[in-house]
Amino acid sequence: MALVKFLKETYKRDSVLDALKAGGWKAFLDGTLAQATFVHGPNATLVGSDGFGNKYFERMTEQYGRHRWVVFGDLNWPSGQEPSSVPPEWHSWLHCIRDSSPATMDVAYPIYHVPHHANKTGTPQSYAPKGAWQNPSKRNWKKVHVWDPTSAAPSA
Amino acid sequence: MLRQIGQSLGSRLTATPCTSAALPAFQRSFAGIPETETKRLGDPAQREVPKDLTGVLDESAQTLFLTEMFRGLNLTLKAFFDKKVTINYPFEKGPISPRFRGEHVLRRYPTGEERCIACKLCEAVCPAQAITIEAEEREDGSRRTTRYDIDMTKCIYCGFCQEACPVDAIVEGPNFEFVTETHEELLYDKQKLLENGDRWETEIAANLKNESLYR
Amino acid sequence: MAACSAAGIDIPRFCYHQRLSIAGNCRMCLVEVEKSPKPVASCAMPAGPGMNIKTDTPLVKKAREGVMEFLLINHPLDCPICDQGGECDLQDQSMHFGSDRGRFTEMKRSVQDKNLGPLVKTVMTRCIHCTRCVRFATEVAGVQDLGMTGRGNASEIGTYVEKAMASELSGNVIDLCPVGALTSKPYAFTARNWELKSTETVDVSDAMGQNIRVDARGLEVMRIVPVQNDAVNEEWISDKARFQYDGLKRQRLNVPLVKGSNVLEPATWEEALVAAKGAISKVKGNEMSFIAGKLADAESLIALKDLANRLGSGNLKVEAGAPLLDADVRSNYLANSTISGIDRADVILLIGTNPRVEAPVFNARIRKTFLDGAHVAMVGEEVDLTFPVENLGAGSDALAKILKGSPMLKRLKEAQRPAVIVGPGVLNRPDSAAVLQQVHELVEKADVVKDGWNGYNVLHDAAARVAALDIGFMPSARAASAPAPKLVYLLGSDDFDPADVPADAFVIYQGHHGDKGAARADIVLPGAAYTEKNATFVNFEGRTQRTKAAVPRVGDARNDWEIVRALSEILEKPLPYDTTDQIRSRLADVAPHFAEVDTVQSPMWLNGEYFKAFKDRAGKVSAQAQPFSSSVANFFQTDVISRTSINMAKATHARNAIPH
Repeated sequence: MALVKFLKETYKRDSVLDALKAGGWKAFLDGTLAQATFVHGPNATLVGSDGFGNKYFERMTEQYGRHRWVVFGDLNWPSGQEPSSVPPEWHSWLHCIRDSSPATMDVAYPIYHVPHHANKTGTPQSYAPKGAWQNPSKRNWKKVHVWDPTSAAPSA
Repeated sequence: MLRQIGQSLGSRLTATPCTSAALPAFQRSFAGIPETETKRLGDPAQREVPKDLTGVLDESAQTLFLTEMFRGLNLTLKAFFDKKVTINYPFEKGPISPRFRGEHVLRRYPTGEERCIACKLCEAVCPAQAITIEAEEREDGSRRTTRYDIDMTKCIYCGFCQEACPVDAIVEGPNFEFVTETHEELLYDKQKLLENGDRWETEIAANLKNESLYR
Repeated sequence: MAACSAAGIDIPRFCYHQRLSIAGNCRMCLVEVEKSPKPVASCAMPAGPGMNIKTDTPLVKKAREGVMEFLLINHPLDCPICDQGGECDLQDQSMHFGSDRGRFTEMKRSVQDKNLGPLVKTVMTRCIHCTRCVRFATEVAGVQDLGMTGRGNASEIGTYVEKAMASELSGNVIDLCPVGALTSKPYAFTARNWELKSTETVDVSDAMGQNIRVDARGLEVMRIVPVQNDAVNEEWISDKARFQYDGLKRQRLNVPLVKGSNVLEPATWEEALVAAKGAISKVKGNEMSFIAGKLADAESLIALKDLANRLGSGNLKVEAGAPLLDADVRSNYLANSTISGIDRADVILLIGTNPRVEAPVFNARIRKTFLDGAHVAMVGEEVDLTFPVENLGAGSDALAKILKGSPMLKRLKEAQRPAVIVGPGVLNRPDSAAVLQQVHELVEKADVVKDGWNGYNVLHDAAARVAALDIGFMPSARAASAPAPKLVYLLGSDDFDPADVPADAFVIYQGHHGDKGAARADIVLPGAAYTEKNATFVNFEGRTQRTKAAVPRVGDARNDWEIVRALSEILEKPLPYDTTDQIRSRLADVAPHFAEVDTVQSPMWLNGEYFKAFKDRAGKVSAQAQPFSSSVANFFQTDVISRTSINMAKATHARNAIPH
């Protein structure tokens, strides 16, 4: 059964009961997770996975738009299940922009490539512009340099 | 008589009109039945009280067995077993086009040199005046920005900036999942935009290549 | 072309400029003239009677498209990185008159950039060889630095030798160049013209009152460009006026400072003014002295004078120069021929002045008069004025020689409109009274002042001097016998004579930059610079001009005259004006010409009476033998703003590096 398989694999337990106790019970409360895994999941091909633990599935018999999906590595809700954790290489495949994915084609990264990260909002590492209270560096808004009376001798 | 009852019951269950008299009022009005008839049939004061046994049995059966209720519930039940078309959002995503305009990105040349040459065309064309640029001569004599801010809350994601840019420096990438919890995180500065670019370049370059015939 | 524009039709052009000679090499102004086999360059062809000029025919359109196509063949695709984008003649004219496609598929030529100094940036690949810069340098600026080398495709504009442009008007080629070949180096890459807000105002780097337009973006001044005013500066401004604006961002005073134990500490306005009151109330009237700086405006001068008089002090002076100049007769300290009137002079005698560094645009005007046939001679140190000048001697002995009877005297007498220009070289001397006596004798003998023409001109080097003289900001009769001042009020004065500020005096400095004055001061009151206030200045021909605020004031600074008014309020001797209109009507009360803005009224020439006064003064002093030298040692750094400007420092280095 797909359900049993999903529970065992995802929660890495040997018996269904352990898996349920370890967090599998959430799948019964979370309808979208249930959909993605054991309702929609049977007979899907695992196309690949990425560095975040996300697994990418495809089932071509589905209607267009529902035929590709991802099962995130981190399935806790709401802290996990981060849609922005899909890296750019898989993003284009998942959004049906193109059919190639890192599973079928090698990705050529530019020399300045930076590894992808999920949206960091809400965490201390979130981006903040210069001048925001979280960001220690302040933007220099002053266009005018003020005379410092303690500076050296006056200009002759 | 029983056949008639069965027929009318059946017709109600399968929602096919056999006669105009068998349909309830709202269905009759949609079915293009002339108003004189519907009025007469819809108004309870003008209801034809059945006189014959068939009619009486018909009506009692309807009242007893909650016919309309079951017709509606049957529809719901049918829908319950239908294949759903709703995209299961966090796991399945809606298909988008390579031209999709999402989060802004400042690109670089393959050597790593930033593309933006501070021509300020994007700042001038932005309909929402979301872009602010200050520029200066860099130490090596080239023309670069010292400040390139896009206020993502002012931005209307029209794509004019990417159309105006002569060097394809500012583009709108395919990412739309950059929601934030605070307002200031959406005031992007140059450092953030460039970093976006470093992450998303593979996909953006592929999208631009697709679109190059049409740009 | 002028005829067509008088008729209301504008013909496109690149090389033609109304103040330069006609070159006719761009061919953009081609028009069709009836009965002519070819289209005609309208800039070069004089309009004759019976000519039918057609500017809208297919031939003209084709000609313009063709010329534009040719110009764009070798023009690089630099618009995004070119500073002239948005205000480029080539861009505008190709949109209006050019065709929509080009046919050029070969390689474009490129040219090496020339180094013209730290002020003018060159990207010679963009040059379209209109030669406006060459003609400007040769005709108006007088330095034959630029020229065209090579022919055809390989022609290049440059200095040929590695030389920076040695002219004080070098920045004007930036305005002249129709493309982005010559641009402003300090302004490079910083802004586009559509994001700048322009304000027409007046420059104070010298006493000429050049009309400028300050382009600002938000809080900062991005650049300064000239405004056409045929009466004052034509279309040119000096390099100092154009590039000193970056000094407005450095060494600024933004809060009042009061000297604590040993060092100036920030304070509030109330504390500073109360401290000033404390210092002033300890001192008697005749122990106070008030020194105004070179950049002081008329409103603050009148306010300070009124306050000083109410406090019982007449010890007022303007710093650095012309200490003995009398303010009684206006024609005695003005350029009576007016700046535009110099164009009509036929003999000019410069006495003790080097207009090239004191008022470069005025020098360009004298040069224009010279090119029209005037004879120019000078008495003073040997300097290069960009045109040949007969040097008659170095000092007052040369003047005496002229008076005794010399060809120059004869020339002046025979001239129809002779002009004598006296400058700071004479006015700043301790024996200026004696020298001026000689000058007046010369003016009498040579009939310099005639009916309908007053050729006696005085050239000043500071923007505040004429307004101060008009107001009467001079030491009173008793000030000479006053004791050494115990309190000195410096109104933006940083070039004061150290003898005027004794070491034990209490100094109050009101100004906008932290220079010598603020360093010496015990109380510092921050004022506004010339781009930040609406003020009145009078130039050396007596024209009243008003500045307009282009950018907001820095920090907690206030308007200069308002500071004096507030001080008067605290000292319980309130001045009778509270608004700008009231102080301006006070100015008009003192001298009516302050109300007549942008016009010159020729003052009366009162001879006879006036000479007697001079004779009395001169009797005590005899002329010394030293040569007349200019008051300006370094053109680029004369006042506090130009001294803090980095552009001016770079220009000084570049100028010193040029071998003389």
